[in-house]
Amino acid sequence: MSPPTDEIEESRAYLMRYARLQLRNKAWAEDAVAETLLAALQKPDAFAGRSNRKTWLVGILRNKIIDQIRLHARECRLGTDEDALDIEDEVFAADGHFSERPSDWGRPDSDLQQKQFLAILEACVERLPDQQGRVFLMKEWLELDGDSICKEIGIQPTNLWVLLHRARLRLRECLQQRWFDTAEAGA
Amino acid sequence: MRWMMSCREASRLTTEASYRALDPLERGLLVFHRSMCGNCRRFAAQMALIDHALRDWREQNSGGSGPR
Repeated sequence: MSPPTDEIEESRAYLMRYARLQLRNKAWAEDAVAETLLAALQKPDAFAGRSNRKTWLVGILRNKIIDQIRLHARECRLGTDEDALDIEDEVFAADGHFSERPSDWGRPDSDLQQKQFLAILEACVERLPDQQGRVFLMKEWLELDGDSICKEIGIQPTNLWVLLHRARLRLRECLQQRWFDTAEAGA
Repeated sequence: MRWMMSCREASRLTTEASYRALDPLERGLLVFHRSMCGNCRRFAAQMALIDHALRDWREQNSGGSGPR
């Protein structure tokens, strides 16, 4: 018995969200998701019967995403001009000090705040430049180690650190603007 | 490397510390810098909050708890 179409569609929707976030290319993401669903639907009983279907599907998706990264390693490596405006030069003055004093963020204190914070974090990850975003999520979401990331897309470790550092500085700027400054303005 | 590195350098080490174990000299220089620099203490606290949130986000979005 094949699973109901709406269950497949529901799965496709969240798988696409992850795949696009990680791959930053609609066509590659569609391929990864199609292959994931194809593999899953070869075991229709497993698809229908699993209580932890999402875990299972996301596990398959991770591997299909890595396949896509391998397939498109060259494109993943390129695109250096996207960061023409060096975030480090924005955050730090010429003498190496912070241009602006970092503010005290505190911590999101209620569950609701925590939930909103994670939503904004994800939006900020989505806004990272493509190359930085891919490498950052290979580390943070695919949980690959540094050596594997360098090998898969063919970059040097120093380059990896630069990309991860820029991604984190950008996330920090984005969270400052979209969470902390907004919260202060509303308080 | 000078004993007192710049905030720019300290921030790079702060990123690397999230992903690898710093060697003793690097760790010493970073601790020393932060002991003298309130900006870098705040920066480190901001980054710790981001790391914490990323862990929660990953748990929510890997469909379960992944290896760490």
